[in-house]
Amino acid sequence: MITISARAHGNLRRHFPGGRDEADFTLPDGSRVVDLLKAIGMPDVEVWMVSVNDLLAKPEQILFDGDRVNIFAPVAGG
Amino acid sequence: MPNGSCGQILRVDLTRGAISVETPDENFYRAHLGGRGLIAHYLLKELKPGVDPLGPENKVIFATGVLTGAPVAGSGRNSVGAKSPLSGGYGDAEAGGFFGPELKRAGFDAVIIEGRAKRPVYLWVHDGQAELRDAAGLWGKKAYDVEQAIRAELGDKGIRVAQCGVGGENKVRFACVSNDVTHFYGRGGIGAAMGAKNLKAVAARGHAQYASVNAERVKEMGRAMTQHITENEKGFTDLGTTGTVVALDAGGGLPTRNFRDGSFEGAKKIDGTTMRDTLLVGRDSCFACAIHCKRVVERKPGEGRYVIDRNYGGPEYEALAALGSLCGVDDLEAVCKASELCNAYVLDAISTGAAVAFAMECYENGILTKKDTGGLDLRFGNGQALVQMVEDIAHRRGLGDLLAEGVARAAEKLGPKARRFAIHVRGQELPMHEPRMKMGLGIGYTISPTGADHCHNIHDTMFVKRVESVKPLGILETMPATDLSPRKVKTLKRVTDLRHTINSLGLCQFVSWSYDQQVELLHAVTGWSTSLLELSLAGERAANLARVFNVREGLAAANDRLPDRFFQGLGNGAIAGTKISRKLADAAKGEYYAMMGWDRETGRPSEAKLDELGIEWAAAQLPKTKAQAKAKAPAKRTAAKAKSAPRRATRSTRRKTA
Ligand code: SF4
Repeated sequence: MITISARAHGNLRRHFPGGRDEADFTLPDGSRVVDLLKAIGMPDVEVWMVSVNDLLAKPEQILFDGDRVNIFAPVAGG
Repeated sequence: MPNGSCGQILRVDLTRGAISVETPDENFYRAHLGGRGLIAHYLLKELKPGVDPLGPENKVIFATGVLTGAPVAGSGRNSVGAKSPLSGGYGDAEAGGFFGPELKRAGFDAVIIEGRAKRPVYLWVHDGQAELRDAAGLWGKKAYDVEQAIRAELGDKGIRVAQCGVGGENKVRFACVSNDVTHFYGRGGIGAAMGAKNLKAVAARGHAQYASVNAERVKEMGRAMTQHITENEKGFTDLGTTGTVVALDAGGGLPTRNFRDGSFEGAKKIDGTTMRDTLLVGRDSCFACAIHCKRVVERKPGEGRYVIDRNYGGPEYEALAALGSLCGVDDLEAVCKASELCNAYVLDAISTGAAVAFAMECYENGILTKKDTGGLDLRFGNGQALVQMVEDIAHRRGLGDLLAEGVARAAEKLGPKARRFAIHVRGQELPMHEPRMKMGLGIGYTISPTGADHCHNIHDTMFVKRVESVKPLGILETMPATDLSPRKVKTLKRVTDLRHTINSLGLCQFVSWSYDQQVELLHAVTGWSTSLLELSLAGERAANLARVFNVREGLAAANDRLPDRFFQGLGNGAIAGTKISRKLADAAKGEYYAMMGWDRETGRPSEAKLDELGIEWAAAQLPKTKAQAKAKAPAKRTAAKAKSAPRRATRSTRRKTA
C-alpha cells in the first residue's frame, strides 16, 4: 500500500473528509492519479489539473508512497 | 416606478454648486438596468467628444443597479464611471461593499457629477437630500482617516463613504475610487477624474427600505443562496481569491516578472494559504453576503519589518500577483505593505504593480538607471523598492511621477526600447491573467470597452471540462483554453454580454447566481415578465454604447491589440514557449466584431445593430466613415429629396387606406 498526501484547491475540498483542504489517502501499490481521484470521489469534470510533487501530472501517472498531490479546480477571475 | 429602483437620479454641478433631481421612466430602467448600462448611456449622451478626462467637462457617475441592495448575496455591487484618464476612452469600474445599497436607501439610483469645484468638497447625500460640504480638511488624508472624519463631522457611524484618495488628488492616472475603505472600483483611473473635480468623497446615509414586487420570493431566494454558500463555498471563504496563486503557477499562467514568465519560484511564499497562516487576522464581506471572501491582514508595531494597518483590509489575488509575482517579489510582508499603501492612497493595485514591474524591466535593461530611480536598485524581486515606489507614485515623486501616468504614457516618454515592456491594452495595464494560458481571455482584453479587463471577460479554463453553466446560452461543447475558433469567440460574446448585464444589475460575479436565477430575481423584484434574452440584450446594449463612445473618441480597431510580448513564447513554467498566433488572434477579433454586428475590419457598430438594441440615437454619435465623408455633397441632395419622401409616403398611405 502507498500513502499519498493530497491538497484540494478551491471548492474541491468539499470532496475531502470533513471538508478539509488537506488529507492523506492510502491506496494499493501501482495506483494512478485517476485512481486517487476515484478513491476520493472527486468528479473528473471538476478537476482542472493535478500536480505530483509540484509537476503537472497526467491521469495515468503512477503514484508512489509519500507523493504530494495537488488537485486544482478551474480558475476564473480574481 | 419599478421596484428595486428609487426612480431618482441626482445631478450635481460642482462649478455652480447646483443640485437637481431627475426622474427617468420605467422603460429607461428596463433598458439599462443601472450600473454600466446607465453610465454608458449618460457618458455617450452627455459628454462632448474629445473632452479632457481630467477637465471639468468630464462627468463622474456613481450608479447602482436595479438589484443593488436587494436582500440577497452579491447585491452590494455598484459602479462608478467617467471618461477614463488612463485609456482616454470609456471608463467604469465596479465594487462591492455597502455604499451602493446605502445610496439607494438615501433615495437615489445614481449620482451624476459634473463641472469642477473651486475648493475641495464632498457630497453628502441623505434621505432624499443632498448638499456639498467643505473638504479642505480632508485633502491629503489617508482613506481610513477621511472616512472617520466624515462620520465624526456628521455624527453618524453608519454613514458610508466613497472617496478618491490621495492618488486621485494627485491625478495619478490609475487612481481608483474606494468605498468603506476596503472595496475598490479598481480600474480606469476614475479616482483621478474625481480628484480633478476637487470632489474628495460622496457620503451616503438613508433609511428607505429596498422594495420588491414579490418581497417574499426575493427573501426566499436570498436564504437559499446563503444556505448554498454555507454548504458549498467553504474553500472560497477560507482563502478568497488568494488561493489562485499556486493554482495558476502550477498551470504555468501566473503573471511573473512583467508577464515574461508564467511560473514564479516564490509562488508558495505569497500564496493565500501562506497568508492565511501568517498575516491574516480576519475575513470581511459585502452587503448581505455570507462568503466573506475579503482578506484582512495586520502587522502590529514590532511584529515584523513593516507595520500593516488592518483597517485597509488585505490583498486579494489580483493585488498579490500584481505586487508579488509580477514584480518578482516573494516577500509577503512587503507585498501586503504595498497593498496597504495602495488602499490607503486609493490606487488601483493592478496598475500600480504593473507600473512598478514595467519600471523594473526597464531598469534591468538599462533604460532606467539609479539616476532615474533616486538610487533605488529597482530590480525584480526588490520588495523594499516596491514599497517605496508605491509611495512615490501616490505622491508623484521622482520616477513615481512618470509611472503615475501609466505604462503606455511612461513608455512613450522613455522611448521605443521601453515600449515593448509596456503591457497594456488601450492604455490600461493587464490584469493578472495570462493570455497565453487563456487565449479567449486575451481576445477579450482587446475588445473590452475599458481596455484590458478580466471582469467582463471569459476565463477559458472554466470551459475545458464543463459547460453546464453556459448551456442556456447555447454553448454545448467543451473547448481547450488555447482554442481561438469561432466557437470560442461565440462563448466570449455570449458570456461577456451577460457580464455587462451583471455589472448593470449590481450583482457580484463570485456569487453563483445562475442565469435562470438572475432572471427570476429580476422578475421577483420588478414584476417585469423578463427573460434571459432581455438580460442579454441589456448587456449588449451597454457594450454598444461604450463602443460608440470609443469610436467617437477615435479609438480604432488598431488600438484593439495585445502587446507583442504575447505573440512570443512564455519564458518558463508548465506551458513555457506557448505563444498566441497573431493571425488567429486577428481572425478571432474580426469574428467577434462580426458577431456583435460591428464592421469586421473597423469594429464600428452598424446602424442596424443600434436599431435592434433600441439605441438608434447613438448612430448620430459615430464619426462619418470615409465613404460617408466622400459622399457628402450627394448626400445633401439625397437629404433634400428625402425631405419630400415622407409626404409622398403619406399620400400613398392615404391612398392605401382609402
Ligand atoms: S463574494 Fe466576496 S466580493 Fe462578492 S459579494 Fe461576497 S464578499 Fe463581496
